[in-house]
Amino acid sequence: MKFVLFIKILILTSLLLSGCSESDDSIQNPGGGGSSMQLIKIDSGYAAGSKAIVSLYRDQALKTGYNKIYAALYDSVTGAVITNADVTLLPLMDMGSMVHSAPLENPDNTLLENKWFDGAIIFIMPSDSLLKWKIEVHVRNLSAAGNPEGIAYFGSIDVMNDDKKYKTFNASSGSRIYLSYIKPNSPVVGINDFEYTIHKKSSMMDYPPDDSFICEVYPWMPSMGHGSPNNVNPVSIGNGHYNGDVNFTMTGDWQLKVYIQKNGIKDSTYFELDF
Amino acid sequence: MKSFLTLIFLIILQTGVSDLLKSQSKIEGMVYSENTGEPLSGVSLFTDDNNKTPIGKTDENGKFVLENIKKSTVSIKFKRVGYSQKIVELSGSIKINKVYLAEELPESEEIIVNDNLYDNNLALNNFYMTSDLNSIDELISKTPGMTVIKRGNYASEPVIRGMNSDRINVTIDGMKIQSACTDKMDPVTSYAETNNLKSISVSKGAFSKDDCASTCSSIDMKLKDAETENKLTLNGNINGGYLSVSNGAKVDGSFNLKSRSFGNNLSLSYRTSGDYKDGSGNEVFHSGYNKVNLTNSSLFRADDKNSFKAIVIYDYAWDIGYPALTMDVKDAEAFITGIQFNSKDISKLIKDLEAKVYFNKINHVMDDSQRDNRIKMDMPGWTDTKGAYIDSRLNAGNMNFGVKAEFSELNANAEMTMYPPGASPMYMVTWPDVNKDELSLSINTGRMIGSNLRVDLGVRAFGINSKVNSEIGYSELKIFYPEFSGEDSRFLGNVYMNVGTGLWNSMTAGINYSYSKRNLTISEQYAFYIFNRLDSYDYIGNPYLKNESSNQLELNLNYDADNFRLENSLFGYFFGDYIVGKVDSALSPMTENSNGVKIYTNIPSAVIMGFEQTADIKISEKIRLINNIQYTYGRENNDKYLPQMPPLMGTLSGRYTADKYLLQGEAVWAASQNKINADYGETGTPSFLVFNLRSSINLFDLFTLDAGIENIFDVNYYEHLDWQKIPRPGRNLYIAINTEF
Repeated sequence: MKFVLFIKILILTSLLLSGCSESDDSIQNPGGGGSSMQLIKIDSGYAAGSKAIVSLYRDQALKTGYNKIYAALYDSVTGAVITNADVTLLPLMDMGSMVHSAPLENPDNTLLENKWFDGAIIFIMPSDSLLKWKIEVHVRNLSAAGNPEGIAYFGSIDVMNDDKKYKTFNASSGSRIYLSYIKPNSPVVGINDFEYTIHKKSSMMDYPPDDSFICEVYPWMPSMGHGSPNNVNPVSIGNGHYNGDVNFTMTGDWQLKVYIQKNGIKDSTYFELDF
Repeated sequence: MKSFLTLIFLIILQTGVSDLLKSQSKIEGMVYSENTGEPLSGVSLFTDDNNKTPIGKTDENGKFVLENIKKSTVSIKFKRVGYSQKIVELSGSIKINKVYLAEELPESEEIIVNDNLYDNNLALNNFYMTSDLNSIDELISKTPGMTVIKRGNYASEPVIRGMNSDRINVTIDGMKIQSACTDKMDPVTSYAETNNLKSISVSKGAFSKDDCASTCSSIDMKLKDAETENKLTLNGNINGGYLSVSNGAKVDGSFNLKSRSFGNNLSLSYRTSGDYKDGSGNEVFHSGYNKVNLTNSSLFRADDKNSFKAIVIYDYAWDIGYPALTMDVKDAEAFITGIQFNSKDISKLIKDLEAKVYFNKINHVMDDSQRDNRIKMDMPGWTDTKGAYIDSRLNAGNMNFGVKAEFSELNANAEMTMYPPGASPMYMVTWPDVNKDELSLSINTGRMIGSNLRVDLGVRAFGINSKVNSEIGYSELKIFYPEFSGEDSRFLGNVYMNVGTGLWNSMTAGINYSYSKRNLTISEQYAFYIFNRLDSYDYIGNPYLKNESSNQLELNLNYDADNFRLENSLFGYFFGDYIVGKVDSALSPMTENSNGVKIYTNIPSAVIMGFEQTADIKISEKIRLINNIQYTYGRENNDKYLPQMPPLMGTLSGRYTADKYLLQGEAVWAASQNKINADYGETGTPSFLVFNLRSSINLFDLFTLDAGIENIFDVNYYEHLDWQKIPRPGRNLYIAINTEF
């Protein structure tokens, strides 16, 4: 343990001194360079035709709701990290009688952080022993001549059920909507930055974000029957994301009651936290 | 014990007077101010049983001559406006008897607990301290102008003229102590015991230098001193008693070791009490308690001028019930220690000096294991206080000054964990690890102007810095005060002026005035959802509160004649930025069944007015009556009444003293209180009248037996300040036996 700590300090120190070191830790960072992210590899696959190998990562166990997905691209011949590419994700659930996708956020290739293509998938149902999720990663390799394209396939993906931080219902305004909790990831007593997404269903394959709701949030402690004061109601910050402040006066079981309103019609749901 | 001493005192008196008439001689002497050394003119001399006709007076040079004295030594009482009266043994064999009178600190009332003092309070002492079983709470509640808030049968919160403990600075031997319970279940008075106290000094306003550090009024519990004596002696007393109403008992002992340069006083006590029964014979559940106290005071006298004193107190109480609250206390533990250095006649300038370093620590654990609350809770609190002061008396020309500098640092922590059935425990910080540093400097002076007017002046300045150390606690406060930096500094001050004058022979008058800014309490500034059972609101502190100010005015008119003494006080305290809890209806309460949330807020003004009167009538050598009446009236600026104001109330006690025994009857009464404020959950309280009968008898000159019946007629009553209208104890038979060795 002490050794690990020592290494961490060493890395941190070298970072501070050099700004960027030539680390080779591909788990931490596909292109080298320090990162505090601890990512877990889902799998690697060749996006046939694109001259790129895709490695797919997650930051925690995949579950229903909002999941960050990280892709690293390597040249299939040299193994060099590719940073110039268009990457899009396509989650798929084949239920036999039908196939559907899920709300998602594609990586923005102009905003590569530490050479990761990071996006998000909001899984709308859990997997089971028979039904697994698939993720297709479409790559257009802009660093190779002719900008070749290809798809890497990742199958048999397990998604757990998390009905505390993911809610879906038919809104009174008509469409099926999906609320996915993002943060606080580690809630604390005091003020917390609160963020979630709202997506709606347009078709089995299309789940666009919806920025047009007026939202309110009320933290609630069900075991005692009280709320908390001075919360800031979430407002849309674009791309289906809503951001506000929630205050917790103590640790324990909390509900975050979220009211969403459109055209004067209000619906409510709640996220559940325990810390 | 006290009764026994009175007996002896009266016997000495009688023999003293008869001796006075026998021999013939002349006694001469001079009277000086102990503070300035100046000769004092106009001092009246009395034989110590006669207050009416002086037998002599000092001239303009402070000199007195007593002719026709029939004994070689006599006991003479010296009285002068502005000075504490003193009884001195004068001898004809000494050419010039020198007598020093100390300047009286105005408006500091001493409840003598265990000291053999020959002064006119002796009659009151007996009244206050009727038996060794009395608790400090009982003594305080018997003092004119004082009452207590009761939440149970233990650790009552003292109230002075309607001001609760937020406005009272309670110290033990001058040492500051911070109570550790957020719900005021452990006022500082609960960490001492009657048998280790010499006296309780009460200042009902900010009128004197020692008190009123940064509050409106103060209580200092003075510990019994260790003493030195030329030959090695060991003495002390052992006492034990029983109370029927609560199946309670107390045993205690005090042991004095005295030698030439070293003295030690060790006091030990143990009290236990079961649930008591009220006037209807119903058991008041959760009202029992247990307590041990160990106090040791050591004195080392280096020489005539320099001495050291060391104090250690360990007080532990357990399984304390609070019937008016939803929780009890599992443990309340205090460790209090201090070292003091005293020196006198250091130089021409420095007359005397006292320096002290102290430290104390309190652990307080509330619990509800004996209650059937749906959600069980743990609410521990712990505090510690370190401090030091230098207090000196300086002489410059014919002026004298008292100068005191003090530094203290207290730390207060409290938290709460709730265990809801089937859910995660809930944790919150209720006092966020607050560090509070206080630095103060006070200067006071006083002198006679002419022969009949005394003026005292004082100023005090203090700087206070408080800091929130708990990260969680700080995050909690930020919910309400997002801009709060976690630190707060204040500069405060107070001034006072007292004027006293003799009107004519037996009558004196005084005016005391002070302006003070009060220190904020930890709760007022930093409380986080602290539940108050009185109004059933959760309270939240406010770091930005303004300090409450007060203009305090007191008029005293005293008449002191041979067989009749009358003390009258009329007071008005005019507060600015008075601090109350104000409902914030936007907030949802935390505590189950709570009515809502209140935030500590300044209201523009409030006023408390009232009076106290004590009449002391000596009907004969053997019969004496003492009557106390007090009244308090409080209003907020919005014309609503201030909550928790005692009604018109009083005590009439009559005592018959014979050679070997004493009988005392008491009528304790209070008028109904309907001047209430429903915003604080108050409802009216009916009047009551309760009778007590007490006796004390000396057995074989070895033991004193105190016995009595309290609440003779088993009246079911409660006082207005008692929370939740929990009835007071019903008929109680007590018996106590004391022996001295």
